[in-house]
Amino acid sequence: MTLAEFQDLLAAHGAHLSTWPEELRDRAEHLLASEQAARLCLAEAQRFERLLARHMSVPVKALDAPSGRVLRALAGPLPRQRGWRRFPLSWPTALLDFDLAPARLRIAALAGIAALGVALGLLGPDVGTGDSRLGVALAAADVDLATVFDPEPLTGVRP
Amino acid sequence: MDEASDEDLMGRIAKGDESAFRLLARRYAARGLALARRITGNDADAEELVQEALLRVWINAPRWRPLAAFRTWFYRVVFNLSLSRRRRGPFLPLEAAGDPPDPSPDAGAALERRETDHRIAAAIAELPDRQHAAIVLTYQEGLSNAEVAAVLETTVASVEALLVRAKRTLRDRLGALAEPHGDDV
Repeated sequence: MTLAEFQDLLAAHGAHLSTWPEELRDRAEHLLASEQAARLCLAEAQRFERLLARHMSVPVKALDAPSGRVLRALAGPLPRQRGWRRFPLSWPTALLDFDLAPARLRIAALAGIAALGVALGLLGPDVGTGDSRLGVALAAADVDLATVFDPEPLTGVRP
Repeated sequence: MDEASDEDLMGRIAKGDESAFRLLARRYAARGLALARRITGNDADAEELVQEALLRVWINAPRWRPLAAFRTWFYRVVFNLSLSRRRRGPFLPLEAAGDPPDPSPDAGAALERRETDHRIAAAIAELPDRQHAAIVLTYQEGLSNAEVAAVLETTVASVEALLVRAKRTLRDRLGALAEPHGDDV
């Protein structure tokens, strides 16, 4: 383990080696035993984490009043729960509420359907497209453009 | 019932047990508030968001499945709501509001400490959302990397990378404060 690797591991796993995966901890302890620079890095990381933890600590009392307000707001009648029990009564709602946990499955299903749609669009049979294009071209060839833009014979109105 | 696990309570809540819900709400209101305040930087928003998160617990309890611990699921709800709120408005770290003047003899030291806290809060608040969340969940909520990964719906390796980048940025931004003896203020 190099010193740079050790520094990254300190940031990733924290400055308390007891929480590290065992294999990494053994290698780290070996490095610490042999390198003064590693010991300095560890001390610095521990000090930095103490600084963060001290800053992050929230006095419990500071949350008493706001959590009391939250709980009082929830003290009244609660809304109706959403679940499978309504299925026989309201199947459209049950379908709309359908929940495939975890969310990744839903996203994967949606992406799969989209990919299938694109694949069908690109590779699927091109039914009738060629014929219809040909039909439009033939129809256009039959039309005399002069008649299209001529004034209407009775009223004289131009298109 | 006070000793019941969160998952047991969720089972009862799924059957419409309001007393189980209120017990779970008492357990998690303060924790949710601490997280929401840190992400949104706003006390009033945090209260509103935690209330909404707890209501979601009640409403969706019949569909909840214990694929993960309740705690990480609840933190995920609070985190996602807080992140949406944070993205809608400007963020101010809580410490930016300042405290009333302290007339005590060690007021100077207290002021210096507040300034230090303000600098740290600002540095953390400026982190990208997911790095910010990884730091808050790790150092405020005391979650393990695996739990943080569950809350952020990512892998443990990604959380480790987020923490490495976040700490590197914080050290750069805090400068001397992050150096040895920098916290002796």
